Amino acid sequence: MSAYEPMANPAPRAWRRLWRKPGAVLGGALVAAFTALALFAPVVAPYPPMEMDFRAVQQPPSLAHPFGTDDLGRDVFSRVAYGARISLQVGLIAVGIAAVIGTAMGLIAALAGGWLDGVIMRSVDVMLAFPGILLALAVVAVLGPGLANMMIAVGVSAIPVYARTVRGTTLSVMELDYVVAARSLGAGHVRVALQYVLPNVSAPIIVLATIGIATSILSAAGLSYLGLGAQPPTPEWGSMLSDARAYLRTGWWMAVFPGLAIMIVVMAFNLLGDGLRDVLDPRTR
Amino acid sequence: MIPFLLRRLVAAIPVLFGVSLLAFSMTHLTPGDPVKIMLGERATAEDVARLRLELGLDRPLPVQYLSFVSRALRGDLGTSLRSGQPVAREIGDRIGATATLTLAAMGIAILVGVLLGTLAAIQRSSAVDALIMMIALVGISMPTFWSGLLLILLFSLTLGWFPITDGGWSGLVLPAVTLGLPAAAVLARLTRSALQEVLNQDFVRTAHSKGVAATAVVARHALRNALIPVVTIIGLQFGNLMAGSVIVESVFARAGIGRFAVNAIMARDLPQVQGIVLFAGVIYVVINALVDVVYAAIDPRISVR
Amino acid sequence: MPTPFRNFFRSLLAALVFGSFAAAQSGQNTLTLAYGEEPDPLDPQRTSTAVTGLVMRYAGDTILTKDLTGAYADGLAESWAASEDGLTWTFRLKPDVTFHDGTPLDASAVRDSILRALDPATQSPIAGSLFAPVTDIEVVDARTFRIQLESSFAPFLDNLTDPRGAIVQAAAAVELGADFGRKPVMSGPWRVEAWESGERIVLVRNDDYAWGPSYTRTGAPRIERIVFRIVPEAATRAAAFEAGEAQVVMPFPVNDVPRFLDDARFEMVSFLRKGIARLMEMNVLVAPFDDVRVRRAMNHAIDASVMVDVVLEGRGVQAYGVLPPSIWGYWEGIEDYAPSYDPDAALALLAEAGWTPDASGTLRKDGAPLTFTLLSPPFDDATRSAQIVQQQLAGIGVDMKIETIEFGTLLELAQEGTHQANLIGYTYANPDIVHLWFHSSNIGTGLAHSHFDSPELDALIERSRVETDEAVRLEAYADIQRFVADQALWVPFYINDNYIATSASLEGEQVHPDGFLLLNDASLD
Repeated sequence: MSAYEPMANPAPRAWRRLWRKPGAVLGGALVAAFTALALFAPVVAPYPPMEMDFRAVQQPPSLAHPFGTDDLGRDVFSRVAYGARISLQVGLIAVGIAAVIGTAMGLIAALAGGWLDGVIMRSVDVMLAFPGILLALAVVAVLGPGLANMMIAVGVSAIPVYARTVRGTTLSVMELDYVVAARSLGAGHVRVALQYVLPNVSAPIIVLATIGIATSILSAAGLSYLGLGAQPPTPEWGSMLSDARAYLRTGWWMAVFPGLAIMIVVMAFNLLGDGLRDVLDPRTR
Repeated sequence: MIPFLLRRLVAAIPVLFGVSLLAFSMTHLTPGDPVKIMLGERATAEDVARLRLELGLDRPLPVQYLSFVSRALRGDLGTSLRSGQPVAREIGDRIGATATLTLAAMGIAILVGVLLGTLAAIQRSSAVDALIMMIALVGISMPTFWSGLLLILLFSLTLGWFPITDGGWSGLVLPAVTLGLPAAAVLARLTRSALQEVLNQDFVRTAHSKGVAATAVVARHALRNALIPVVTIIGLQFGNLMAGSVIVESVFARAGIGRFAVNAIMARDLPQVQGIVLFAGVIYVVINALVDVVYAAIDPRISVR
Repeated sequence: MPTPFRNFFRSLLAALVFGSFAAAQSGQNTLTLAYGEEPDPLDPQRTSTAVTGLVMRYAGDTILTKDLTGAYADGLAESWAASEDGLTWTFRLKPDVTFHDGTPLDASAVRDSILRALDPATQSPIAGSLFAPVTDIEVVDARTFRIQLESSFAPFLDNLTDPRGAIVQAAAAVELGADFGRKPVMSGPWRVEAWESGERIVLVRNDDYAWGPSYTRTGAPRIERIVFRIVPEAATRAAAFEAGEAQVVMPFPVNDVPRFLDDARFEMVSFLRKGIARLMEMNVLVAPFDDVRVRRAMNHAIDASVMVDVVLEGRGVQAYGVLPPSIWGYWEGIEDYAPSYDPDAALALLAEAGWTPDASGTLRKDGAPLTFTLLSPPFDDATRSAQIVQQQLAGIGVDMKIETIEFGTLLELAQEGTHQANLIGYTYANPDIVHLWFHSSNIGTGLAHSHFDSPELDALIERSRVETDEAVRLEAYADIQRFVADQALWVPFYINDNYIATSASLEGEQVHPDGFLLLNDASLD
């Protein structure tokens, strides 16, 4: 691995540059819309997401039901709206778990050095030995299916990336002149971590987190699609797609809209994350 | 080169150890008594005691672990609870289908991804570039279980071009495309940025200004240098593809390791899940090691990590 | 090279070769059936799945069969007679019957097969109980054997026609061990050639076959190969059928039926399922279902007719008791006798049991809300029914949670008796299924998921098995249906119309009353 250059602090100048990038602006706008939808779902949704209207089963999109109804007469638009809540929850919690634990691991490994570093990084290697979804599957196998367990599983599978990145950044920060000076003057690990490392590491973490939310939503939807995540009647986008499988011919809207929602939200976070990376990565400055 | 190879292999050992530990601990991490889970309440107290003895679950954990590893090295990955068949054989029966799918998807990803990425890099900052990058963005954002369903709807149900259940080459197309699309998108983006970086460099601009034709410049200098990170990513994507097969196999009802793993989890068949985790982990460690070796072979600048 | 690696390469090669090979093989004389389940083993004496039973209809022979009217007919036995007291049955086998490996299927082979089913070492889940009352089998001569029953057993002849009672080559079973479950040695019109895990089961014509039942073709069948293509998703099966990749799909998914009914390329046959498709079992050992009033209230609170309309799209009927109208023994009076949909009656019963609504309408007793978890198998109709029930119960203030569990695991949990309620369904040929569901001997080991231990019910069930007078037996079954309805051990939902879809290119197939396609005389265009 080549030497790691710390990213810039997210200074005000960086933000201004961000808004000049059309991709990031679009991504940001969509993320804001998604968050708004998630927060205001009860207001936006015309029907309760679980309410079944047996006289309106499998109706195509109409004025009354803009996204149509599903096989149990539930309004697809309302379910997509409430699904945004769940996806936002999953994204934030999974990334939260991964970022907190991963950062802690990376910090401790770099600051402590020695055998602790070795042990931590070897465990990270083990986790990296499995692609994300397989690790998530393994966690679900141990904990059992369900929304909460799935969030944990997705979070755990994302830890290694944060650990590696933070460790790398910490190591290079520790080699900066003023940090070396501070340490030789007796600054302890905790102080070094809080005062020097964290500000420098916040930029890559932000980028990782933004893209991480996208990946988490995708993984969670995948696990729910397989039946290992959200349980019925939870309106999670992935499980909605799974339910829609049997109705591809007769009810295409049941499959199209939740899938579209996933794709747009994931794209939005990716765009935003790309923009952030371009702005903060010293190599492209 | 050889010392690097050896060092790389040695570095893989602790990871393999960790993987085996992870797989082994799965039975013991699940809530509940593993033996009771395996036998169900159909069992009498004697049955439970007998199976515990048979499985060696009364021995201390390190001894159990050693026996787990030694059996695994001999190819014994335990016996499935559901079918009574050796897990190793069940994995063996299905790995071929997954491998075929993964290789086909990889082929599509490389072909499409590198091609599009190169095109985008050459046509930089033009409409073509923007279009290709947008397609790539969609590619990495689209859930495979969605794109798979849409492809089935369009090409199998509506147009009838591809079969729905039959195996054979035509039955491989849609799943391979579904699986390969995200990887193609990643490769396209990466190829583009790697190529851009190279095309920016001085020696290329010099060659260009000397009048060497653009294509020759690209082909001879740029691609060779740009290929290095691309090759690495191809290796890493291979692992992702095998993971992605979990979903694609479910969507297309193909029998492979992915679907097998999901069914094992849903059935709480712990020996099966354990065997799969161990098997998959070892495969990925080996692939990653191979990728590092190839990377080192291509890039002469890399000698020590 | 360790096994997994050898298997890897072998499997890779097979996938590459088979891939193209399989496509070429779907030739003229191959019938492809798309089916959703995979066998546990194909060994009929070790299976608990329906798919193995289906495969055995073609690969195996039973001692007796039922003809197209449902009357008992010849199978491997050409004639049979019972003693006066009904405890001794003598059977005479057809001549020159052989197993797929060429060994003779004579009286001692039959004996060995039945003994294997009864042997505790075989651990037979179903076949063993089919032959349970058999105490002795005597080989009189090469073609004659005598079965001794320990007591009068009314379902005896019926059990002999069950495909899971097909006669196996017991010696081969011993020799092949676990492999017998992959490729059992039977005697039927087709033999099992291969079982590719997760993909297909291939049956190949038995050219030596000459002992078919008298109501159909007795010699070797016309169709050369039958392929059971394993496709777990119902919608994919329908799509494959439509694309011509499969010529038979059974059962056919309900919501795809309308599209195919008017299409001349396909033939759709339907009959009422012989069993209850979906029902909710309640466990009497765990609150809140330890109170019969609560159980009866559930029956009053759930409107099953909605499920017939929405889940079955009208293709089926509401279920009222433990037996469907399609099984002999059904008591018509159950439709009025069973608790009907009446939410007010439900609330009244619950109030009696101590559950009263709070300000928001949630039912509470001593402050605790009325809530329970319903275990549901991951089948489409089960999930949908569960969600409908959830909504209906929420309407009277009951909070029901749904937990989706893989079917095998659900069965294990239900056996343990720590669950509260679960969804399940069944298909069976005769009313003796009540023994499996409600006799106390099946608590913890069989299907008695309600864990209801009642000597009174046991006695009723035992009487239904022992009685040979049909009228008395009918009364016994009526008593059982009333008793279970009184105790409200179940909430029955619905019985679906089973659809079998066949391609018009398949000719000569006959729909057997036991719910499968008789193919001995069938051919492909």
